[in-house]
Amino acid sequence: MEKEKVIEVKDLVKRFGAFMANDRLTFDVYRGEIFGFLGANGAGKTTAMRILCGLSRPTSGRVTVAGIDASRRPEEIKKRIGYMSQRFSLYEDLTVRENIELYGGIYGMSMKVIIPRREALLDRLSFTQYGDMLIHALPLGLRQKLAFAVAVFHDPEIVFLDEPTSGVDPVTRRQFWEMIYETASHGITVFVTTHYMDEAEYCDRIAIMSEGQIAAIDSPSALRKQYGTASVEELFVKIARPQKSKT
Amino acid sequence: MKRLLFLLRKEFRQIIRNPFMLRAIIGVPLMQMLILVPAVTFEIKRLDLAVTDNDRSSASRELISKLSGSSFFRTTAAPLNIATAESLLLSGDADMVLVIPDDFSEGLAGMTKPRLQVLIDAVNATQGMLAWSYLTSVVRDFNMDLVISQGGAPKVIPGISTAPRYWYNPTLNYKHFMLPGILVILIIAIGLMLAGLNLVKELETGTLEQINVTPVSKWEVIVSKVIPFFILGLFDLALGLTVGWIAFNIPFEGSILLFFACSAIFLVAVLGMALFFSTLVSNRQQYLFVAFFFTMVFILMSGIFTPAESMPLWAQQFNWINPVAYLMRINRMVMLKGAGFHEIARDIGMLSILALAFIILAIRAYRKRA
Amino acid sequence: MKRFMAFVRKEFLHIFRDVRTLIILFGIPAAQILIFGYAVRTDLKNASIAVLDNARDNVSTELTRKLEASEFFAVTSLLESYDEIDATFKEGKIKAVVIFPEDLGARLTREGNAAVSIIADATEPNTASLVTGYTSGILNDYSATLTGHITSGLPVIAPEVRMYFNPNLQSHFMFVPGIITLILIMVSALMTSVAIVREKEFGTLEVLLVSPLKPWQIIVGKVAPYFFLSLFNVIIILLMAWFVFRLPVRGSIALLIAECMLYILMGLSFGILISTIVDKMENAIIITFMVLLLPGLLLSGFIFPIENMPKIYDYISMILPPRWFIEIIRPIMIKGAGIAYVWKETLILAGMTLFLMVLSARKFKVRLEEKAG
Repeated sequence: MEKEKVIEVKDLVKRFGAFMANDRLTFDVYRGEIFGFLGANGAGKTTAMRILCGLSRPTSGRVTVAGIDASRRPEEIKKRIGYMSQRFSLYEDLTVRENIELYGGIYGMSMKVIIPRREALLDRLSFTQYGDMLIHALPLGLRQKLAFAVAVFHDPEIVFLDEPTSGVDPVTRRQFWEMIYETASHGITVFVTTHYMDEAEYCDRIAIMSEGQIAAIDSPSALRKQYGTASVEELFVKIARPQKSKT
Repeated sequence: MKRLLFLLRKEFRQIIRNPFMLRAIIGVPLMQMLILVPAVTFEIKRLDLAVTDNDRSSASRELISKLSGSSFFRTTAAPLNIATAESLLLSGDADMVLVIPDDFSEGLAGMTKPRLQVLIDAVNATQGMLAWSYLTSVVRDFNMDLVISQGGAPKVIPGISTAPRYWYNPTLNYKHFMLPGILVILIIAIGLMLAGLNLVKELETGTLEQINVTPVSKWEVIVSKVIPFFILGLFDLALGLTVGWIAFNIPFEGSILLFFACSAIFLVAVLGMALFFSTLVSNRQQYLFVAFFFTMVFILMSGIFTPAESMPLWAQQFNWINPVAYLMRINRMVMLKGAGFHEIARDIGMLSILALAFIILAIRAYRKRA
Repeated sequence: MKRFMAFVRKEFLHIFRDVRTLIILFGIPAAQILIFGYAVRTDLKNASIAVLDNARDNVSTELTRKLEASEFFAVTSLLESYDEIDATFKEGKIKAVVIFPEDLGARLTREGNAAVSIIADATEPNTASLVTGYTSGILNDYSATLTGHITSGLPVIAPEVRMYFNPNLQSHFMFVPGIITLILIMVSALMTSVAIVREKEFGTLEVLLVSPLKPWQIIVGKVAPYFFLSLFNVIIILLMAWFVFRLPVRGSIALLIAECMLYILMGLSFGILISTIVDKMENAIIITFMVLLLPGLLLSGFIFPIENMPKIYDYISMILPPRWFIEIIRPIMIKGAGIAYVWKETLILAGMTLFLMVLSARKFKVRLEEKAG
């Protein structure tokens, strides 16, 4: 497998006043892989992800996403990525179809392109019956799936998912990860943060963050071997401790 | 550009889907026009005047009947002692008390200097002043009649008489004065409240972050918020004007087109300001306070209710950046005086500069990061 | 009870930790006091007027000088002809034109009287009547000196006036109670309704409702901080009014504070009531804004005396709590009235408060049951 770097991060530092949210992060993400970003709440996952998405600027360090410098041309990055935030962020007072249409349009597609793609997508997700329902009438699981579908609707190079499965039931989570696999199989790189350790096992590679630093990074199996633990969960407890409880 | 159309379609869909918003858009102008326009008046209808007549002479009765005859005063007889007279002022049962001392007629006969005592409730300073000047003019008339009847002066009233004439509003109708002002309040309330809250709400619920991570440009976001509320604002203006015209028959001397053009510029300034403020706050509660504060300041200092010339210099200088002050003046000029583009060109120019400045400020202050 | 206190403390922290909210909460009342105290005036000062002097004699020159010298006017332009008046008004720079007739001085010496016309721009009727009133006053004073010899030896009635409660005729005497009324309704009604609806919107109210706290405790806990903030605002405004304008509270401070508490309770109940009928924050804001603030500003007697309005507004304003509150605190603050003078208004306000409290409590319960069902 040829390893083409699609995200390169070198010595990334993000400071908020005296607080060091990201402390000299260095890692690469390869095209087409599912990269998991793990850590307790407040470990700095979301901060790093927001920098990668161009929503926030690094204090220092070099960040390249899809070949573009994140501190200089964040707007260029935004054309090539998809993003699904922790907070649900589709418009609740628009229908499923209207939301898809809006984001398709924002990414520069014309209605001619949007309509067939949208119908195909609804069909694939077996969502056709919900197409004209307002989002706030949908159950949470369906909304999350839809938010993901919208995030990759414009065929980005990379999709960033910020704790996409928090609060959904196990069955939906399962289906959600099937969608992630399918996306990755089309060559879209998936960058996902999570605090569900079982989900980490689904990733090609994971990075474990603790107190703003990367404590370990490799494939789940390699890490388990390295630290001699039976599961990622144990591994996480071992690496991420001791940590002060931050709220 | 195509992106903007998608954003606009979204905004309109959301507005149309919000039944409350639609009701507010119709209801607010109706309420403001019908309830507020007639209510706002400084014109003094009637003052409650309590009279204590300690003289009980024909002269004092003559004076009292002259006062009752004036349309400004509603006279009541008051108890004789001064303490109870004061308590009438305290309880608000009388606006002023006139005490005619027991030597009043002797004074008129030339034995002493004729005196009158007047106690005025001056909590409302303007009203207190007016009450005083109404009373003195009645007393002056009474005095003059007296002088003439005693044959001390020619039949012609000596001195300089004044003949006031009131242009553009000959009956001093306060509705004519308020309606152009209420229309300005209407636009600023709609613009500042609805547009700003809309953006802050997207910020609070997280949908704005999703927009920010897409390649839309800042100006597209701002413009997509300006246009819908711009249209709503003009619609409300038309509605308010129609209601005002039907209900109060306000004359419209100038060009309606010019009037709408100026309001449109003003609306752009207000929307720019709203969106600029919304970039400064973190939730709707804060926005509300900021918006409410500036609405109050802009309105009160603009001269809508009170004469702007009476304010100290710094306050008048503040009005250089107060869009309400410009539109206020323009509206009254165009609606009541029939002023044309020429007369208000300077105000239009300043308003345009403000509009441009606020829009640029909003676009610059808007951050595509959080 | 311990749990309840912990909850109240959390709500306090919530507000106090947010510096921006605090600045806004306390900066706004302060700024309003300053604006009303220093900037906004209902009286006339330095109004620009023009003179059209057809006489050009000693009398007209003297009168122009007198107008110029008064603090009410600034003579900013001298017109040449009657035809210029309309254009000058349309420029909007002047408020009135005083026209001296050709034969002013001559007539005055020959016949003892003359007429001067004043044309006022009546687009602002209040200013117009003040301008004409003051101009006549100045002309009268002047003619009194001319005609003094005619009436000398005859009685001239000299009314002595005492301006009660506000001897220097300052307009902020009227405004400060109004500002308190407005700020309180804003902090109590608007802020609480928004705070509760916000919790509803984010779903956190549900979380609280399933907690062991009783519903009334939740509500009281949510509104308690606003009660104290409002009260604190009252004190700030009173202190500023004293330090900035030397406006004292003439009546009993205890009575004033008690009345303020009553009014704040009314505002809080109203806020809760609004929060039970709407689910979206915008709607809460629009309702409070339209129902309370604008009418509160214009129909409560804050700036415009109610007794000057058409009779029907007297009745409409009777259902507005701010009207009664202004009628209570204005006499207490400015006139030094005691409870004997305001007990009727106080009873009405108390009745309204009770009504709103009961109504909002019932509505809140109904909503809870709906949720359960």
